[in-house]
Amino acid sequence: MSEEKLIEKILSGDKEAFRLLMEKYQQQVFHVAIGFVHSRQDAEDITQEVFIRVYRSLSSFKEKSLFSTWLYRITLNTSINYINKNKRRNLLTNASNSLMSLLNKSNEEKDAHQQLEATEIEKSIQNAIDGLPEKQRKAFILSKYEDLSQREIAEIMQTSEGAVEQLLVRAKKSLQKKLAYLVGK
Amino acid sequence: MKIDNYIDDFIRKEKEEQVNPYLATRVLAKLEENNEAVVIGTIAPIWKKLAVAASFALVIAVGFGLGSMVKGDKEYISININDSQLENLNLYTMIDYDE
Repeated sequence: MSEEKLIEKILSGDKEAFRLLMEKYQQQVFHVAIGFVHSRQDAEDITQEVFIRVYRSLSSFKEKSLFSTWLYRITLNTSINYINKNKRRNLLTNASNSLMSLLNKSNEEKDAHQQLEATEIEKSIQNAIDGLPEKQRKAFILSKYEDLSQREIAEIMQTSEGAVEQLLVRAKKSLQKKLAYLVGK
Repeated sequence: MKIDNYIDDFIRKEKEEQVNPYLATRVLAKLEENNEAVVIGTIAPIWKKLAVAASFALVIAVGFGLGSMVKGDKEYISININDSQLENLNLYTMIDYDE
């Protein structure tokens, strides 16, 4: 069934059509969300929130742009709002997650030292991505987690391709600077 | 190991996570809970808009029809609008004015 037909059906109250639409796009939304929050549970909460927003505002979707472009915009905004709302809580859960993953992994074959190092590296990368300025972070996540082209990212972020290129170059430089100490490990 | 490889490994691991297969059901249940169907139901399809416009046109046409059906003798009242006798203009033009 075509996307237009699906949207038409949803607008006329067909919830099964909405289920089909969700099943088609949920993995994409989830990937972007996990790029922002790095936690399965939080990414699922965001995905849920995104689709509730989509359902509520589907009537305002003008078919001037692709549905996926509109959906990505909602996902970016919802993810940023979610992060801002849960800043304090995230500090605590991140600390406990790190500890838990360390304890869990210690039972595996690798020795504890290697595990500690791997967790430390992951944590550093996560912090480096989270520390990027908002626009760079959005462009970086869309590029790396969804493999979108610069043209598609420009469309989603309502900016030029040149601007997206600049954002990605700066994001890469910033990450390399923050993670420079990893070289040689 | 290069920094890019560390980053790519990290992202690849995160991308391996799969969304809960019951997520769609959860969202639908949440919408059902808030009775969200009403929100979508408020978007009137084109035939509803046409029906409303047609009913307005019908009411106006019926009004004209009923109005033109009224028959019978109408009483006309003639009004004398010749007021030359009411006020003599000579009074202002000074013609034939006797001092």
